[in-house]
Amino acid sequence: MSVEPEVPIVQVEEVRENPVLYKIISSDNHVFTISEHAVKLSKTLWDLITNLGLTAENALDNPIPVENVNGKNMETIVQFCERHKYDEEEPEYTNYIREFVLPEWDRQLLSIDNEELFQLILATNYLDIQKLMDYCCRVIGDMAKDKTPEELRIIYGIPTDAEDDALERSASDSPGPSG
Amino acid sequence: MSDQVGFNKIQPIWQETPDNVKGIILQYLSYTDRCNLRRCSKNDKFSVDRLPIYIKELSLKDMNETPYRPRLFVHIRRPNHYHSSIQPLQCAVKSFFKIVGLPNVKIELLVLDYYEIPLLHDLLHMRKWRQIAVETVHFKKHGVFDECVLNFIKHLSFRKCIIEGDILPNIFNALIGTEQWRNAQGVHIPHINQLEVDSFLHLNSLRLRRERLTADDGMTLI
Repeated sequence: MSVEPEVPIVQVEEVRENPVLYKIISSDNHVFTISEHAVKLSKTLWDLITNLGLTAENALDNPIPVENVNGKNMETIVQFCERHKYDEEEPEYTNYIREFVLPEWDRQLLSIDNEELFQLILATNYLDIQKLMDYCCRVIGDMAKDKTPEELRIIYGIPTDAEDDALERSASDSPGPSG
Repeated sequence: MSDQVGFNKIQPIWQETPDNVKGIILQYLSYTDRCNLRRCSKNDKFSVDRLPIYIKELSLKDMNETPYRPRLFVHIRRPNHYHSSIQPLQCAVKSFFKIVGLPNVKIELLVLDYYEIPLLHDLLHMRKWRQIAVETVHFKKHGVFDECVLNFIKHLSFRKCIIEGDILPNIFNALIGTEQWRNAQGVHIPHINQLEVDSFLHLNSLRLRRERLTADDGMTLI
């Protein structure tokens, strides 16, 4: 692995029942350790681990680089996964969204700047963590409650159609990286 | 809280959110909030319109105390939203068509009084409307299942049907010949009747109310 873990390693709670730990390196070279039960919440990471053939013996010697997720988001994700690693598996849903009460701990975890929350959603989408995705989307959905279209534009950062067209025009008029 | 923090800044974050994620977020919005978001931009109008709307019950019920002013009731499932209003018949029917004409609308239960059906049928016929797909249709209140209802039913596609009121024998014979009857999986006729049981044998569920059941009919049903 070419990435040097120069930044402090973020420690997570030791798992007594299952001592298998994995190392994950974020896009900005932060290194995280995560337990096997926790990492299973991310379909992407677990598929990667399975495909790489990582075992209890070689897991810590082979850090997994995740280039699409920065350290800040990864820290939140690791905290979330460790917190929910022993949760009961929820049934798949088809037509309707799941009804649930957002736990206070998770609400606190997700009480972050809107832009950070959207970045976290992108990371969650990439890592395919269904429960965190539901929670983030619920928090973002709650922001829209009883808001006018104008307020929604501000909260979600939605440009008007005119602004959007202007942005598109300026993007197409501006020279590319080589021009 | 985060919404207070984010209220003061504009970043193009929503535009960069993948469609599948937007779809999940939209499902957590109430119907009113979705309508407000729909007004934000063309893209959001498209996103909201693409989202299925699950209506648990849509009903047009005649109100005895307000003749010619039926109650339009809509119950949207998850997130729960109710709308109930008493309107002049023409307005109620107009609203009804707006709802059934929404893109991606899925209606579980449609409840109609016989009273409104002639007008609904005329408008369906005039507008050359496509079939209205519902899970269950319930014809309600005292009245007669007549030819007009029979013609109206041809504009519906349903799995289950609840028919209150009397059905004239000749109308029933015409009804069992319709594609809708053949495709139905369940029928409930709560009024006492002596309709031929042979017409119900293709159904998965059947509730009939009869004064008497002959041994032959019982054996046929079994």
